[in-house]
Amino acid sequence: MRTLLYRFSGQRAAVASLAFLVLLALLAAAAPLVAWALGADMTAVDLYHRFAGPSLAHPLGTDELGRDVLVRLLYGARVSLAVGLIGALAASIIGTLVGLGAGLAGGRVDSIVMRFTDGVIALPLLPLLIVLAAADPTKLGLPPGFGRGSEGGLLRIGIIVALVGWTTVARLVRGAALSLREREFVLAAEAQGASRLRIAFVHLLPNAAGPIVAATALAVGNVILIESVLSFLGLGIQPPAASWGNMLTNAQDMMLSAPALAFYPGLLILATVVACNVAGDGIEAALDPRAETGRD
Amino acid sequence: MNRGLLTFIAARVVQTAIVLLLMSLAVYLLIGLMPGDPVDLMIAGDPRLTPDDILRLRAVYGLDQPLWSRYIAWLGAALSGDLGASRLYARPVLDVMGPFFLNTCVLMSVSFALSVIVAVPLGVWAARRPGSIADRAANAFAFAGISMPVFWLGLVLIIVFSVLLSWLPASGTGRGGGGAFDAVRHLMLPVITLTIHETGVLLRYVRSAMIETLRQDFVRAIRAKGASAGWVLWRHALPNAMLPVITIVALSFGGLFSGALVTETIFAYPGMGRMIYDSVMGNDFNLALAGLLIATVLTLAANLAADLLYAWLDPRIRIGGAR
Repeated sequence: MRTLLYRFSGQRAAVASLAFLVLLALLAAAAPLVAWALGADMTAVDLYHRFAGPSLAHPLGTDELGRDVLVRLLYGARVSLAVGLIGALAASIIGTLVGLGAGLAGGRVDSIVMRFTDGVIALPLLPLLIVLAAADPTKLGLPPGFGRGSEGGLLRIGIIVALVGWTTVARLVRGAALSLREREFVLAAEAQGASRLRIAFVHLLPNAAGPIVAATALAVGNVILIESVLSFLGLGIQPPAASWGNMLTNAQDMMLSAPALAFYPGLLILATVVACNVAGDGIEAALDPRAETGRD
Repeated sequence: MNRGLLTFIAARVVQTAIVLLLMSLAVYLLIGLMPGDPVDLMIAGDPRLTPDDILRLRAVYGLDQPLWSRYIAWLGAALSGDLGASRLYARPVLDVMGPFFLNTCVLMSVSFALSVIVAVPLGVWAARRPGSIADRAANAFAFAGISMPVFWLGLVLIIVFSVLLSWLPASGTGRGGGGAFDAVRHLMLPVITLTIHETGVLLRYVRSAMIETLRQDFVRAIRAKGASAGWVLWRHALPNAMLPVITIVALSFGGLFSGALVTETIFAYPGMGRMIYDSVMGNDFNLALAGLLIATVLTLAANLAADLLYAWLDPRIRIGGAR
């Protein structure tokens, strides 16, 4: 663990990315505080001060309804980070179970499961996600109000993304399980009569934890991107709740009059996703001593 | 052509057909989850319908049948070339889809070709000296390309090139008598958007595959024999590095289609992605179903082609038989 931290801290870009993500999370957590300090509300409409430039009262100006852009961005950060974490965690849990199962079972089961995984990876996911996001939850036997409201929306998007996002983790875990299965300590456990379940969760899982963590970190960035696309297309987080994606939907209509509105949310998505990817790469590199370290 | 290769091809084709069949069922069930059904839409559109009419309409459309028998009926019709009529356009689905399909093919193939042309040399150049300034620049570009939301990139390009500079049109195809030059001008922004994204994806894989290959013993052996750096790089390392890249390219085809959907929506470009989006939003069940299936067929075909190409390039695969 010490060496791990040391190896991670040796990568300046990864450390900076992690610092950025922590800062963003803190700011997002403080969103109500910022709103209170500025005397602005996320949804308070002020038609007399539309498209205002940056000022003391509105550090990043106001949007087409006179709402404070900074406050909305911070609330959007809450959405993006929450969906990113929920989606990535759910996806990695599914992926871990699938990968462990396939790796342990081996043989025919393994090859069928992995074919299926490859098939899901190759699919044009966005069109399918659009249909899923437009689906009527009552047809699945869920309560009519499911996925409405702000928390419900987060959960709904998290689930939808997890349904397609588990594949990378599954492949990684399956690979790790296959190679670990033949190692002496697993054979020893088997010889002592440990059940398959015990081998999977007590012996294989902790040893495969590294790649799982790295893949989850990388998945967070991906999930944030997918959430922003769905929200942009009007299928994700619904206004008046703010998300970086749906802020851009409105901004597209105002492109001619207020290009700045289209600038900030996109820049934040870009920065956040880059940070997740760089941090994830950093974790991966710290775990794998053979991975390239910049110098060959 | 030996027998091993033929068996391999046959096995892959059969496999693809099975996957396609399963996908059609999955997509059919998925579309069934969309809110309402065709008769609900008619009820909403015509207040004079009586409950008796509604029952009769449901029978006419087969909506009183269980789901699986509806799927079988649909599959039978689809296999004989009848995909039903589009609700939004009031024409057969196949007629509606033709032009959209063509537009998407143009957008995707041009962007794909451009991104290969940019990503391969750039990736090789970056991998030559990992950690150098060139490598870092290429890596940063790849990261930006992957992490940038495609729709935002499109918006920024529109703001810069259409709004501020007024060099290029922001939407449409220009197929309205503007001539070939105008059509190309309309294609430029969507193609640039999709190319930047796809280049980022490919660049990362080309670079890491090249770095991996350049570390292998055979490269050192060739170097030791006194081959020039360029000869080693392009003649020996690149072909070997291309094998894993081909697989990745095929797997990223679905992603390319997703990117095309977003690009088409931003630029109001009439392609398949935009058509699928509009049909889902407009409750056009037949059109959405057909669009999703065509997208799946395209992706599976790309995967199949990559598999066959791989087998042709790497004899170990075909001698080993179908894995």
